[in-house]
Amino acid sequence: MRGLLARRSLARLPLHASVGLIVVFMYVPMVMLVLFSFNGSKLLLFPLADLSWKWYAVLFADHELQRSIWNSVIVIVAVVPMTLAVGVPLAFALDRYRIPGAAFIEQLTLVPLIVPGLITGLAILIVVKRMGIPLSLWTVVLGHSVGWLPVVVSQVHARLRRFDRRLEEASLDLGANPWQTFRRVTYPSIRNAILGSSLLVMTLSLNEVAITFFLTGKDNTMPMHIWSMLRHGITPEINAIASLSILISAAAVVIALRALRSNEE
Amino acid sequence: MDAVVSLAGVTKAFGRIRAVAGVTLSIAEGEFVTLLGPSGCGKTTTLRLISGFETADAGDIFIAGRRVNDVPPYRRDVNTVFQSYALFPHLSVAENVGYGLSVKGVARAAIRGKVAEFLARVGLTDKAKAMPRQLSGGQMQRVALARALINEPKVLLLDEPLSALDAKLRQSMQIELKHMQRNLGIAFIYVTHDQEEAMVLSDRIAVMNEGRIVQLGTPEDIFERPGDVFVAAFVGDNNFVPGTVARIDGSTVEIVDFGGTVWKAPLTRPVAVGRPVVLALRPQAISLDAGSDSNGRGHRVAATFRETIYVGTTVRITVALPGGHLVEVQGAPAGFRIDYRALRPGDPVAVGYPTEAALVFDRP
Repeated sequence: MRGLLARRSLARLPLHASVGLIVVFMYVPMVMLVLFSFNGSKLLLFPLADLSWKWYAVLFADHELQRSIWNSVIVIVAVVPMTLAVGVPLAFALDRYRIPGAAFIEQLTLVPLIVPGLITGLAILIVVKRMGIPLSLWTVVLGHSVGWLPVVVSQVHARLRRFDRRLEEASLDLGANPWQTFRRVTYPSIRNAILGSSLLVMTLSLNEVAITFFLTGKDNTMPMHIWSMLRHGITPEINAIASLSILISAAAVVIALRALRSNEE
Repeated sequence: MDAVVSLAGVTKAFGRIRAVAGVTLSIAEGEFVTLLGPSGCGKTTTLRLISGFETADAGDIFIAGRRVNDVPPYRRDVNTVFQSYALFPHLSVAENVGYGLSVKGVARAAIRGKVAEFLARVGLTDKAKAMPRQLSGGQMQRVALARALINEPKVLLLDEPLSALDAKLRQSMQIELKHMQRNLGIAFIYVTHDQEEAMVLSDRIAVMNEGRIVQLGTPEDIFERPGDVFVAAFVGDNNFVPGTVARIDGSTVEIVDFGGTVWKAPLTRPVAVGRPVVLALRPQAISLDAGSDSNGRGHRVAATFRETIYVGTTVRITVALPGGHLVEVQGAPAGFRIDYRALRPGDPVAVGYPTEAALVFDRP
């Protein structure tokens, strides 16, 4: 018994080691990046000689960067409702109607998650060009919506599959019409799936480069702007904007995961 | 017409399976009617046709005199207590109970008063703020009941509402249900596969099989005068002895079974000599005597002892007829005229029964 346990913990050693390595590789660069954003000196030396907020001050004075942040917000504000407007009804259709080939359709909606963003972006670019639509933030919105639609569909559909349809029957039985039933019974149970997938779409869209690269016109989104700033080398200013971006994304992901987990219950 | 619910020739098929095949039934105001039958007999489908979750293929459904075939569930004046309770998990007990009034737009203060009244009725006043997941099975059951009754429906439909509860709780809930039904004067249509539950609760029982009502009557009718072998077998225990009509003597029929034993039964329906029949005899109606004793009352047939099963309140004794057919005798331990403990397998015994306790059915 004892020997078995010892052998088991020995067998776990590689597992623990690899988890440790993954954590180190994932988080050490991020931690360094955040630390350097407070670097007062121009040199990338560690430990930091001089702590300072000045790069954040520089950020807030950079009008071009502010424009790009604003553009990213516009894209997000358009993409989230777009994916919800298409994704939620699609999830319902997949769950409620006996559509021939429903499983195939569901897998089809997941394709953009598997296909690299470069391909998605290029494919949409070809179509958009053919149709003679000029590139702008709206083509970016289109690209992101296609790319992140699967997030909404898969999350909402997963929740609907676990939803007890008898609750809807109970509601109808108690005199609630179908709309009241949706609003009071069905919606509250998919609310967290909608909230969680919205936040995920938001972060994914905020950090998207590949699709945006093909589809944007003159207007740059935030990650595209950071990319272009890199041509002048890694400045502490970039560390500052990246730190902010990590903070916002991390907050959104934490909230999203929490919402989606309460969704599992 | 004072029927709150009536069904006339109602039929419902799912694909090629006829779940309900021509059910005609009328339920009076304040009546407790049970649809009793094995699983798949169409009892739940019949209930869902009344609540509006299924649409009849043929026939008419009336609620309070109005034909409701095309009326959606939310416009029917009936409420259901579901087998799984189907409480709304995101709403508190009080919000669950008040749901029906809330969707009808009743004022909040009025809802609060009514909810308090119905929670008191089911003894859950202190649970008003609890969430459904914090409740026990019995408490969820009561919430489901209060949530349905608060709407004061013309008829309450109950789909095996007690099947998820343990035996003790089920018995006390049965009595509670019965009292509540009497006090409110609302008609209850109750679906169950438990014949004992049906007996305890019902004014009338509709025994269903293969989508049809095979017998409709009071619990006494169903138990004492079952209409066919199916009902006789489904409701209570019965011994069935297949045989042939040998003689008709005034009001008595004589039947010879395959082992040559002669049985007597009252002539309750026209039969002809030579007809293949089944004799049904309740284990409780049979008495046991020693094989040599000739003082027993009623009709007596010879058999041999097989085994005894002691179940506390009763003793079940199995005996074999000359042809090898087994018959079960059941009685209180103190009620036997012979000392059953002294019996050894193979001992001769006499099986006696009052002639009028036997029933004769056509052999299916």
